[in-house]
Amino acid sequence: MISVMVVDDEKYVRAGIINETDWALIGCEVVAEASDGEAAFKAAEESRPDLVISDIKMPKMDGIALAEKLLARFPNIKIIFLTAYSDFEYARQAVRLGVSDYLLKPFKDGELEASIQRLLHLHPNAPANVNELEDKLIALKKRDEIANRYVQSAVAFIEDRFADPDFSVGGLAESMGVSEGHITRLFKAETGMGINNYLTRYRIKRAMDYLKDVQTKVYEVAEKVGYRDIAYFSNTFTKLVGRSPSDYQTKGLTE
Amino acid sequence: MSIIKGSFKRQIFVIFSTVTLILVIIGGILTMQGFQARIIMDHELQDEEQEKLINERLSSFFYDAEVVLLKLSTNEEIRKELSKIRPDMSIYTQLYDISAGIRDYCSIDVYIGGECRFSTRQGGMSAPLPENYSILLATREAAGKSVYGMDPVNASGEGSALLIARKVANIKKDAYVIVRIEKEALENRLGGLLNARDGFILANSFLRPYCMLGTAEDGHVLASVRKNLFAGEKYTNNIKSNVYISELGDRGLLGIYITMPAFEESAVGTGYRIVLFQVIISIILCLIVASRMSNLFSKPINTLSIAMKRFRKGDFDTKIELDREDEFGQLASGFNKMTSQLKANMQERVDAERRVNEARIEMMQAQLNPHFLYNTLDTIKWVAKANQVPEIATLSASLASILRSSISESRFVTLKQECELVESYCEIQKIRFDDSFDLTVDVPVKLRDVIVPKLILQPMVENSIIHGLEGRRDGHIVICAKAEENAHGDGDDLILTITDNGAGISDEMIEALKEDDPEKLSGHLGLNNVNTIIRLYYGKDYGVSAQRPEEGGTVMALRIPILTNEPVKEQEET
Repeated sequence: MISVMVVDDEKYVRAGIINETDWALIGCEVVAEASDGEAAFKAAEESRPDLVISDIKMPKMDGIALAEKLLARFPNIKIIFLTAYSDFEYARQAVRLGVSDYLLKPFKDGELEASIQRLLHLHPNAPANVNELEDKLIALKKRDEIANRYVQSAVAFIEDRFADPDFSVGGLAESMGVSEGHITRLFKAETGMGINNYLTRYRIKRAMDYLKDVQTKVYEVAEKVGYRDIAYFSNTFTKLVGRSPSDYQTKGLTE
Repeated sequence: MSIIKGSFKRQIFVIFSTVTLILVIIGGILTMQGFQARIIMDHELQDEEQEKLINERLSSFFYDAEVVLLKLSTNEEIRKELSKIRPDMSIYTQLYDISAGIRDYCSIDVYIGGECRFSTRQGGMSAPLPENYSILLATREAAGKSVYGMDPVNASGEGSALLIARKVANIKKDAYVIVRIEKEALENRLGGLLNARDGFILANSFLRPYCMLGTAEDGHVLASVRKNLFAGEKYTNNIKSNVYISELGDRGLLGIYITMPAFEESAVGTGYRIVLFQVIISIILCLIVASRMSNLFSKPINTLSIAMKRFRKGDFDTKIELDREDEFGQLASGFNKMTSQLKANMQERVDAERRVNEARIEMMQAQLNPHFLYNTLDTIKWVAKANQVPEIATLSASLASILRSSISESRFVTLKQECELVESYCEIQKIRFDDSFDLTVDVPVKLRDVIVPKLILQPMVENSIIHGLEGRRDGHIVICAKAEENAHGDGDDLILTITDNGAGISDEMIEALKEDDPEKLSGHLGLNNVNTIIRLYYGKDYGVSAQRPEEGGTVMALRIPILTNEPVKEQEET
């Protein structure tokens, strides 16, 4: 799990980022939040986040100063700036500081997740091997790595039925003859993620495989991996892979 | 000096005073001196004439006396009579006869030895004279000559009778004929010739007076002259009066003529007082004139200086009112021109500054607003999400995206950015029109980075939504991009088609687009704008065209050259 701290002086924005971002999908969890640079630095000393999502304009200490201090204290920390206005000077300073990414507010759904995924997994030092890269990007425990029998069969069920747009956890529990709550708990304990999450990841991973064929249309892929809504598929794909299905299809991960 | 230099008025006064005083004082003194010299000269000339007159009178008088004496002393009858031991009275006949001309002012005595034997004097003989000194001795020694002398008997410091004696020739006895002129007679004789303020002294060569007349009567002048001569000094020293001394022939007589000085001290003093008065008058005049002059000069200068001060303090309406036509008038009008020009310049500069400031404020506002705008939109998004209204979140995020693109200064974007803008736009429109249409964008990867003018697709899509799909529930809009060989056959053009399944474009509009008729396109401002912009950038070969396929709907096509850099506008903005 990647630990994340969210810093923004606006309560609604901070709460919105924390609540509305699909952290679990991309393997992150929020460990701290702060409303200004000073509080953020204190919180970072305590909780040592791997990633900081920070506004630039804040009282007491602005995002630029915070980034400077954080990078000096924790050289491996990753930072994503959020700013309302695309100011060249901010961008220049951010680049000079080695700040990882830069998002314009308000961003659309999925943009933050995509940005985080790109930052964490698609950086220039990422492994050159495509399979390895994909495994890092969308980490999934393989069936043979799973000890629990129930979970093994649940994964088998997902791998078998993922293309069904009507797939549900209830259906999975029923076919296995166990209660929904039980299998959910078991699954979570074994793989570190929920069943739906696992399913989504699996579907997108399969979609990536399908998209390697340049002749395949995006909407065909969406259908093949169990999505009825292309926009939803596209959005989910972008969150996880860091770029849109069509981009991925033409450029791959590394280009 | 600094007191003088500090004031224009005082400087003028000093200069004027200096010039005037020099003129007045030098002129006054020269006039006084010249006048005095001239008067003195005239006076002296007059004195000389007067003196000459007196001397001539005296000389003729003495000459008459001498002639009488000569006649008497050489008269045969008188000689015979005197030769007798006892001369008798018959001598008087001759005596009276010869002396008839002079007897009215003198008496003639005949002395034998020291005794007076005969005399024309009324009332008896004259007093005896000492034989061995004085006049008788001198007469004996100078036989044949007339000798002038004093009467040793009654001589005093105030005068004496004048005796003119001659020895009677060719007789054995010492006999003398003597003309006696009494002091009073002399005085009477000369008094009529003298002016009231003059004086005359008849003296012998030892400056002993026979008589002193007029102003010399008191004897001071004679005493002074004598004292000066004995002391070897100039005889006029310490004498205020003019003194002329002349010898009357070789008679051993001196005529001393005394006149009052041409100017008395008080007169000279009065002269200098007049000069002083003039000086005072000049100074007063100079003061007045200097004050007037300085007013004439310094008033306009003061006015100018005050105006300058006011101007320096920032009163740019400063004007000088001078009703003069001289250099000061010109200076004033020059100053007025200068101030009005400076004011105009200043005004211009202030205006320019204000315009710059206004522009700056506008710029600042333009910079401030987006920041606030995007932040607000962001907040709206999160509030909406918190309240489970995803439509609002979508609206605000899409609106922000459109605004960002349309506000940005660059006029060109990549085709990909333009498509994203259209997608954002459609997301908003979908919510507004209740999902009555959908949008499909199909752009090949190789064309995504082609540079196109900003906001050329959005108006086309807007046109489709508002005019084509109005009232439909199953609208489709498809945007397609493809490369097509251009008209010259030397490259590819980008063809963007916007296809909808709506009402279909009218023939009229198709024609209008072909002919590029702005009047007919005026209702479709967006369409017309896109066409104009494309032609402006790329020329007549490019632009918007429309067609209505048989199966219905509209196909709009944009033809744009494939460029990966911003083109230069054919008609640069003027």
